This record gives sequence, structure tokens and C-alpha cells, in this order.
Amino acid sequence: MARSRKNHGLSRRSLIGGMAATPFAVGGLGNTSVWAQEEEEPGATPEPTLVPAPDAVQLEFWDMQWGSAAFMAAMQNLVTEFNRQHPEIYVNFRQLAWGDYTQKLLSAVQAGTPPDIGGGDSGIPFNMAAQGEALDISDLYEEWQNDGTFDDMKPWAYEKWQDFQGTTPGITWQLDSRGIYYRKDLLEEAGVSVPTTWDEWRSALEALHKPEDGLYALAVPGKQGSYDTDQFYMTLAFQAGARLADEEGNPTIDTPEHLAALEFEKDLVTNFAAEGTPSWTFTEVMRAFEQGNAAMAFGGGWFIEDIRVNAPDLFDKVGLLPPLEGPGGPESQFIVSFANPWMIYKQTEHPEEAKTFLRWMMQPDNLMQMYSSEPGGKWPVYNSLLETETYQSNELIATMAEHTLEYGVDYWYPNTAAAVGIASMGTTLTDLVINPVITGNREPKDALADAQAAVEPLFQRQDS
Amino acid sequence: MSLEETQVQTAGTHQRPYIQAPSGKGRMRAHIRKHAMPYLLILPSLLFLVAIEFYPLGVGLLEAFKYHNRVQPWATQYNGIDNFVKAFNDHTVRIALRTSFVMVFGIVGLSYLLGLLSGVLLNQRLRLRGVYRALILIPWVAPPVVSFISWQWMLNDQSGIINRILINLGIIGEFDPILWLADPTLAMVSIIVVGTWSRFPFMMITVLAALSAIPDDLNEAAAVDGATPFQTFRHITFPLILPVSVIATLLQAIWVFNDFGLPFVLTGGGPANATTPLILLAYKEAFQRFNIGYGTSLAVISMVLMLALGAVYLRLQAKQQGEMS
Repeated sequence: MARSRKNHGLSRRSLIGGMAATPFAVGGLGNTSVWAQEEEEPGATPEPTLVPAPDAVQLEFWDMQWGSAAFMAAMQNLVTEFNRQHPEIYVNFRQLAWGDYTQKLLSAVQAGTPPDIGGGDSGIPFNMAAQGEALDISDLYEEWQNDGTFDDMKPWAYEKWQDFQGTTPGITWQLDSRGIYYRKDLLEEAGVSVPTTWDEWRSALEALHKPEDGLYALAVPGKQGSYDTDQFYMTLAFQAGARLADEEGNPTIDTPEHLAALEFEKDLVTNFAAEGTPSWTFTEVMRAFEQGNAAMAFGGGWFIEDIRVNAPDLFDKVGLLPPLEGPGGPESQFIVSFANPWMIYKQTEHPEEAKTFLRWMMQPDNLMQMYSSEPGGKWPVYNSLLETETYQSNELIATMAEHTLEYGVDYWYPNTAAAVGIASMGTTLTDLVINPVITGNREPKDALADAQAAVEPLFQRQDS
Repeated sequence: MSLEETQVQTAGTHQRPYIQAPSGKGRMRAHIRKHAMPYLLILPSLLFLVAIEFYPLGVGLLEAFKYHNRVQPWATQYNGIDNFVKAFNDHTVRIALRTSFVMVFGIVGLSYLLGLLSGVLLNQRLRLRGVYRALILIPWVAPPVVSFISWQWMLNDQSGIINRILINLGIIGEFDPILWLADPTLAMVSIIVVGTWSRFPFMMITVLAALSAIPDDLNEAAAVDGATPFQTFRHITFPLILPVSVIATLLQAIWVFNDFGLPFVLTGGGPANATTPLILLAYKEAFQRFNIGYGTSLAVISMVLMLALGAVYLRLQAKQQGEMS
């Protein structure tokens, strides 16, 4: 669970190219971004990397395939720039595919050959720290605290990792947000104003839903085994005031707040979404929205660029709903925004050089080079970057960026007492709760009880 | 000690020479001397097998008897047969086992029928027979993940080509799609159809190979005796290809039981766990919930079931070889 990932969808234009490219996609199972590269993107080819100096300390940096070829090229270029500026250190960047990165990292740790610095999903530093494999970077935190870096940073981006079992295992370098896109024109036609609460939202969906005309009011992911599915549910759960664990680190899945969220999702999917929703991922959601078959769609920031490219006629008609107020009240008016980290592995033989690299990468100007390579792909951790051209380039991007910094939280919010348990849930919520409920195969209350029982062993801690 | 040396004449009553059997040690030494080279030659393979097969297998077997969650290293300990007890009491595991067997019976049964039919047809003297044979092999030689993703697109309820065709033919309404992957029963049907599509070429090749080994004169003799083509097939052809068919079917059953890719890619195991076989459940436990011990125990259960099938396979193969010799 809680795997924040770049989840490019399949556009109509990319479909044909994608079919031709499928043989090359085998190695990247689970990473659909391969197909979304319609043609050679500008800046998609990284600059030539440098050759390490003979006496340079060599570091391995492994991170995920976070975005388009342009984004990954920007990442490589940034590493190359670091190498240029620091001839005494040479960082070798290796991309990991989403399909098997966990196995790769676990095997590498087990074999004593993990990278020096690594990225991954939004919970991986917790998992590595629990195995004694994450280097404590609290000294870097102290620096960032003292030099004002944290004053500019979204608090959850660093608070999330602070003092986890006595260490600080990572730092957030980008946020990956989800939101609900809507068609302004359809809302206007229906004479409905932009909803701000669950009740208003439901009324709006009622007014928009016209399945007899091929228009569903809402498109959301619901496929089993998919990390996309729990992201919509968790948005509702947060807004209902639910959390995945309490302050003592015990799972709190079987609660009235979760029940409210789950029953609401069931209501929405049953009454306002396509019947095929239990087999949908973000790919199908985006396709339905871009083809004009859905009035609202739950999706990630990458939807913005995809709509602009593949459904340009729609682009100006699309808006982003504000974070809705649910039963949890205004204090729970959240959106899901994964705080994706970098960390240093404890097995590194060069911790100081690794910290030098991390310190340099976290500088706003350097991060901005990546952010700007794919506008809307990733959201900044620094408030000051909101004013840059990248995040003001269009209304959707500006709105999502603002929502991210103001309302974004991820599954670990608000404390890390149950960090390892949450990071180890995999697709439990999707498989045991959401998909069985929206298919009508399990009652919400029973499904939550199933999940609570299933995750309880995962939440056991050494001190419990 | 050579055989000559062991030849001892006993005094008195025993006049005939006899050969004294060498001692156990001597026998072993002689055997090693005689067969040292073959053992040396297979040694690298043996070491390789031990390293990549038996050692991981041993480690895996041990894991199955542990509580071992990667993110709770402090809690790792041997827990006897707790994982297996938990598995047998776990409703999800029982459902997954049932799903595995439904997949096996569905896919293997249909792929054999289809393979038999196409094998018999392509054994006839047809024009472009070689082309047809090659075309039919495509599903089998295509990388499975690529095929399954393509099928996933085709079966998509909103924009998949299959529903599009049905809509264009007026079989289903524009806004009344068939939920190939979102309805539990249809999802299983889809899994079986796609699995059959990808596996029947193997059956066809096997059947074709068996058919080509049947002497023509048997069929000619049957025809002379007035047998219809169906009677010839039923009483001559089919019994002759049956042993090969049984072995191919068993092999397919093992492969399908262990087929992780098909449900993982096509349905993710859903909806509502309707297409989660045991092997996918084991993967989710081990690699998504980091529950290595429990996940391994599920894999071991799967392995034991497959070993049973494998034993049947080996027995049948040995019997077949015995009959041939």
C-alpha cells in the first residue's frame, strides 16, 4: 500500500506506439510510463555522463522511474552536474523499475550490496530503518533547521521522517498528489456550483450522471491488486476523519470514520461510476475523462499534462475540486499527497560523501530542474517554488501545487508510530476492503474487520 | 585387488576355481576408479544445481517454518508448523486453492481440446499447412506479459476492442458493456480464455508430434476395413496419442498452477479475489506485506501439490518408455 508512483496512462495517440513498444515493456512490468512516451520528448536524452576521476569516491544512487524520459533525463543530468562540481565524488545513477524494485532492494540489502543513496516508495525509509539499514541523517536535519531550509519546506515533508525509532531515516524530495478533476462546462450546464463538501459533491454528481448518454458522473480506480485503488479511498477516509493508526501505533481500520468513508465510496461507485470500475486503474479513469465519458475523475498530477496533450479541446474546460469537507470537518480537509523520500543506506562506506550528495540534491534550484522537466509531474517540497513559472504555467498546475502544499498528507499522517505497519500493508486495503465492497461481495463493516485482523500482526512493534 | 588375485584354489575337496568377491571397500574403490571420469564431468553441473536449486530450496523450506517479516526482524523465530496451520485455516487460502484448480481444469482442459482439434486438422494434407502451423504458434512464442497486457486492453469494458465489436454488431448496447474483468465470474472466464489462447499451441505441437509417429498403414488398414474417419480416430488415432497427451496435460497442469503472470497482469487477482490463485497470494504475502515466512509456506504448499503431479508425470513417462522399449 501507499506506493506513490508515476502512473502515466495510455493515451489514444500512445496506444499504437505502445503496441509497437510492448516487447520492450516486459522488463518494466508495472511501469506503464514506458508506453506514454509518444515520441522523443524534448530533453529526453540525458547529457553524456562524466568519467570518474581515478581517486574519486564512488557512490551508487538508485531511484525509481518517476516520470517521463524527460524527467529521468533531468535526474541523470542533475547527477552529472553534481559529479562535475564534485570531482572527488562520483555518483552512478541507476533507475529501478516499479515492477520489482522491492525485491531488488531487499536482495541487495541482504547481499550486502545496497546503494549508498536510494529512493523508492513513500514508506521505504521506514522499512529499511526497521531492518537497521537506514543511516540516521539527523545531523543533516539539524543543518537544514539552522540554515532556514525547513522554514521554506512543507512541514509534513520533514516531520514525517523525524525521530522514527530514534533515527531520522529520510527526507522528502517531491510530493505526488491526487485530486478530483471536473468538467467546468458540464457543471455549468447542470447549473451546479463547484462543490466544497461531501453533500454538495454528491448532489453535483447526481446532476451530472447521465449513463444513458454515455456520461458517468465519476471515474475512479477500483481494480484489485492496484495501488491506484486505495488512493481514492484514503482521500475519503482522511476527509471522514479516519487515520490508519492511532498515536500508539495500533491499526485503526475498523472504525466508524473508515466505515463512513467506505460506505460513501460504495455509494458513489454504485450510483455514479461505470459498472466496470472494479477493473479500472488510473489508465482507464484518465481515458474515460479524456474521451468525455466522465464528468469528474480522480487522478494524479500527471493527468494535467496528459489532458493538455491528448484532449486539448477539453483542457480549458477542466478544473480541480477543492479538498472537500467531509464528516471529519475542516481540520480533516486533506488530499492524498505522497511524500517521496531519499535516504542513505547504513551499509554505505562513504556516509559523509553520501550526505554531501543528498545536501546538494535537496537544494531548491537543483530540485527545480527536475520539477520543471515535467510540469505537473511532481510537486515541490518548498513553498518558495510555488511562485516559479513552472507552477504558475496554468490554472490546473497552480491549483494542484497550492492544494499539495496546503492540504497534502499521506498515509502516515499524523505520526510515525505505526510507520512500518503502514508501509507493509501492500494492497491489503484494495484487496480486502475496497474491491470486495464495490463489487458487492462484502459488506463494508465486515470488510473493514477483515482488514483490521489482517494488518494487526504487521503493526506489532518490538516494544509492544 | 584384481580378479585374478582373488582367484584362489582351495585345497582338498574343492577342485574347481572360484572367484572371491572383493570386500566392500575394494568394490567401492574399483567402482570409483572405473567411473571417476563421469562423476568429474557432472560435478560442475551438480555444484551449479546445488548452488542455484537445492540451497535456495533448503533456505526456502526453512523459511516456511519461521515467523519472518522483513520489517519485524526482531520477531523472527522458528514457529514450527504455525504457518501451515494458519494457511489451512485461512479462508483466503482455501479460495485461492480453489481458484488455482479452476484455472488448471479450465485452461488445461480447453487448451487440450483446442490443441487436439487443431493438431488433427493440421495433420491433414492442407495447402499452406506450414503457414497455419507457424501462425498458431504465435500465442505460445509471444512474451506472455505482452500478450496479457494486450488482452487486458482488448477486454476493457469501456474501450476494449471486444466490446466495441459487440456494440457495432448490435449484440450489446452502447452503454451496456460486458464487464469482462470487473465481474467475478466473467473475470475467471477471461482468465481461462486468455490462458487457453496462450497455451493451446503447445498442446497442438505435442499432438502433431504424436500424430506424425502413427504409421500411415494403420489408418489405411482401418479404411480398407470400412472404418469411418471418426471410428479411425476414436479406435486407432486417439489411443495412440493418449500417452503423450496425458504427459503434456500433466505438464500444462503444473505450469498453469504456477502461472503467476496471467492473473497478476490481467486482473490483479480480482475482482473480490475471484482470480487470485495460490501462487499470487504467496507473492502478495511475501513481497507486498513482507511476510516472507507465511508467503514461503504458501509456496511450499504449492510445491508439494506440484511434486505430487510431477511424480505422476515421471511415473507415466517411465511407463511409456518401458512400453516403447
